[in-house]
Amino acid sequence: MSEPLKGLNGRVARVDLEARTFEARPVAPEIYEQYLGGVGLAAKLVYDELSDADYARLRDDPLAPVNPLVFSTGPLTATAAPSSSRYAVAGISPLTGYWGESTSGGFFPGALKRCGFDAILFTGAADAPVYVDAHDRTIEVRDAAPYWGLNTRETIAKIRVDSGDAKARVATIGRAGEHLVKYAAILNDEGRAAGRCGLGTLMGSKHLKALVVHGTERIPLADGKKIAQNSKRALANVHNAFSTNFFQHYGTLCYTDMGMVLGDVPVKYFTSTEFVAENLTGRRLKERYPVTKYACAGCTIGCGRTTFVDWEGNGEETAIDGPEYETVAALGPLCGIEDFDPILRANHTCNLEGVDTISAGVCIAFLLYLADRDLAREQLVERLDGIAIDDLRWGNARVVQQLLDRLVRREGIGDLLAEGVKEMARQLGVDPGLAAHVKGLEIPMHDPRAYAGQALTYATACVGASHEKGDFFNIDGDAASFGKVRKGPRFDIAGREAAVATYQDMACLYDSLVVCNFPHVNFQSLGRMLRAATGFKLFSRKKYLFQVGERATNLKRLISIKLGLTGEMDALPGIVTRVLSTGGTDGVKLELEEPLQAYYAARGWDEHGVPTEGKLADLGLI
Amino acid sequence: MAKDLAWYEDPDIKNIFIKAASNAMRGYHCPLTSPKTTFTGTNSLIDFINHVGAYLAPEERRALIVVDKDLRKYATMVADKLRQLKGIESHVFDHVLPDVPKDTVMEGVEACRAFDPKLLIAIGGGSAIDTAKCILLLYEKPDLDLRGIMAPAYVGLRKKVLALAAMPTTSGTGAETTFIAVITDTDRDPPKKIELVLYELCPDFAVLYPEFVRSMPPYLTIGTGIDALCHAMGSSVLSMSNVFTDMCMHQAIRLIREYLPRTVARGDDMEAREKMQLAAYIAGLGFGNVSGGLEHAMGHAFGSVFHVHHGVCVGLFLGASLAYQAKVTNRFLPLADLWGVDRAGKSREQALRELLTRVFAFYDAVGCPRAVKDLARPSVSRAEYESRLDQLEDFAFNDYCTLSSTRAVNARQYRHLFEIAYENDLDALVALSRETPVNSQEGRA
Repeated sequence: MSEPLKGLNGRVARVDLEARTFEARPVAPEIYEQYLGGVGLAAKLVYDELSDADYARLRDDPLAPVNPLVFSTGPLTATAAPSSSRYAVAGISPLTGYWGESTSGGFFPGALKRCGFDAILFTGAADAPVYVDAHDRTIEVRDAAPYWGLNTRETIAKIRVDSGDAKARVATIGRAGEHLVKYAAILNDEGRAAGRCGLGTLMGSKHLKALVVHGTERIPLADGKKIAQNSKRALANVHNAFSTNFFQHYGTLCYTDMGMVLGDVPVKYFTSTEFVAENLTGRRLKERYPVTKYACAGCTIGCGRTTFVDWEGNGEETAIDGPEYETVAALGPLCGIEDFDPILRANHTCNLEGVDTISAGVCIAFLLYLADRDLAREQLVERLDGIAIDDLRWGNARVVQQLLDRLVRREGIGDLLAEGVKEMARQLGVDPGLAAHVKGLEIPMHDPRAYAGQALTYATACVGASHEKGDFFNIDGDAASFGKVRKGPRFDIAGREAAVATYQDMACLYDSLVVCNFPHVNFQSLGRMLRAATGFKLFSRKKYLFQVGERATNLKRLISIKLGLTGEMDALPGIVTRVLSTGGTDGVKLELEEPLQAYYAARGWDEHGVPTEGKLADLGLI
Repeated sequence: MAKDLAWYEDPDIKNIFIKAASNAMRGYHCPLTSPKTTFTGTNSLIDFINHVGAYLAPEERRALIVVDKDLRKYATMVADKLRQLKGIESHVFDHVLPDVPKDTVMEGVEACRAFDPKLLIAIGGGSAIDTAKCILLLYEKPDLDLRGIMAPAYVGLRKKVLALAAMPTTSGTGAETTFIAVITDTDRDPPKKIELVLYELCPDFAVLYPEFVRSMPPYLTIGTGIDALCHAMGSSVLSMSNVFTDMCMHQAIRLIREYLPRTVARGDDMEAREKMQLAAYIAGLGFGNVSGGLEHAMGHAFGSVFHVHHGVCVGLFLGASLAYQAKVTNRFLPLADLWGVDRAGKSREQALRELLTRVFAFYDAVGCPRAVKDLARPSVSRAEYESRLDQLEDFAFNDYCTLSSTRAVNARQYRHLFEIAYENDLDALVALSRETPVNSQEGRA
């Protein structure tokens, strides 16, 4: 066995929620060397946890108690590395039925790692609501009856009061997770969300209301000074980039108007890309409302926002998390809404109730689209329960809020909306190609027609359509290259399919370290910091590091294949491949069949998208 | 940068410029450039001479006056006053030609090398002022690659020449206050117009001397006045506009609406002339700190092909520009207010229709053609126009002003706008601001 790595606890906790017990398990240094932490470590833990019988069970029911839920940190979490206060959460997605993962920031990640565990794996389901309290290498499963039914903010506040620790860090679900809305999110700290893939639903299915961490343990680093030195150097470059300045001043909403001109912001359920974007920019937000900045622990960018809204005009302000670009686009122009007020209200609902804003926006917009096109009218009328079908109109903010309120409680039509867009299309009996998803995960707010590289990323990403598993629009959009990933014409990915694979592996690497990708610190610097954290020399080799990302990507693919994933699912639905006749993607026809095969070849996968034995052997997976 | 392409023709730069025009970028980088001092009023010329007399040290009192042959009399008059009042010696360079050929600019550079002026004075319209800007640039930095002159670069001018002064003799281009210059690169075969965008090209002094615009003929008064109107309105709807430029452009619209008809009706109405000088200057302040709009891209293309006065050209396409971008911006709504449209209870589309109706009525009132079909000098037949659409769409798409469009525009869309502009039918224009149905063609399902 290798020497234990520094910068890590060297152990994970396995919590059996049914038995309400936990055991601390040592992790061999080789596992960290091969998977780091975050999503990589989570994939390894899940892969080792599940038996063939478990996979068979999960194929029938992703909410079966055997579904493991992992919260994990990485070797750079809570170090001086730039923007490194992040954690990952992973499991089998209740929404897609395949591998699911999400990451989030805030102050929770450091407190989790300092509890003495690099990851906590939950299995089984409690018979009544519980929350888990982690501190000092110990885990307690506690009664969550007082918190069940509370929204995320109320939960966090009450747990802090009840535990007597005002600085307790809490990751919790809201009522959407309790009601098993398929795309429920996990909220931590002040509005930070692990939103995608329905991992909040998985918590809800286990009756796990919250994970509370109080970690204070210091984790020795191999060379802390060197991390600080490299971080300082890396940050100098970060702060010279104008994109950093955009994030600092306008958050992710800096993108709205530039994205609109590029045809990258989907409008009215992916049928257009044009709207009055000037109403929904980060600058406009600051002109209309008082907005303050939010930074995760140790982050010098601070892309987060808090917006203060006086709903009633009586001087009483409500603090709204964000809003983020994805949220504004999904609950705004995607539904035909071009005004901040209703979007902020919807955003607030999503964060309080704990629901993924992207999936929620896509599902509601799908309903408006069906009504607009007079599809499935009878089925809709039957389920609308008090909402007039003629009110399902683009831009009807009142109805969008009504639908959202029902969605989070699974009331009436909300029960359908809560299933996700793929299942909605199935239940309503409409053309499945109208459902905007890949593998069941709703398509985010970067229109695949705007960037062919992003389209291929969506088609092949480990979780389905996610912009976080390779934000390729940033490569071709910025006309900048990133290491081996070369920029090119944005409507054409032919010949650069390998770059998509590499960029996905890089995203996987970021999520395994775990660090934020906004500073875009180069891998040479990250490698140096990683080596300084762990003392493991090979981490400073870029090639080695990239293979770590590639290994985890392949392992996640193997898990999904065991759950029934096939290459045919590596495709985009017809609704987002229709040729538009206006906007920044006017006339663009997406052709992904050939690029997909080239992508498989670049990955060392066969023509069906299955990793070959040779590739698995190269990566040490067999 | 791709070989032989000006910066705004480079596909990579085109991509990036969309970000440069964004709201966030304008919150990050938004210098507001203007002349240090602008002299207005009937004594403006003397005020200017008094100022530069104090500005230049005794050993620096040399001015190169850049002018075309037709306006040499003004140059002589200014040279006399410079010498008489402040002992400033002048050399008159009267080779200015339309479209600013680079070889003419280089003649001016040679004149500078021989005379060593510390002050450059441009007297004339856009060509004279642009020629002076280019002489300044190439005299000080002879090795610059003109294709790459773009903001926010700074090259360090005014090491040899201490100041550039602009004295407009028309009321429209706003060149006396902008940092943009157009040069025709005669080194390229065929010669190619290139836009140079450099903050340091903004003149240090502008002199709005009313006597210089007294004798403008009506056709020029109309053309330049409409040019100023297009600066104010076309640039108002661009996402690059801001609080400062809105203030300029909105005030310019008010002045033009009131005083252009008076200057057209009576060329000797000097109060109106002076107000139009100010309107063009203020519109230039606004437009110069934003960019030209789609009407400028289309007008430049049309002018290159049919050789119609620039102001009239851009005027022909203002309606298409406003209507096309109205789909993605509300910035035309304050313009409707300025034109007296009562928007209460009206839709955006109705407001747009009424705005365009009023603009076209204004065109009629001042004698400006509403549409390509109305042109008389020269007239352009539909057949001839349609035969040149390929060229028009190509020129417009590759124009510098295309980069700043608030709404995405490609060559095919430009073609559609050109087609509509032949008649400028109100219904067809307003339809540009509406939803476009989705093409039913499917990709991979």
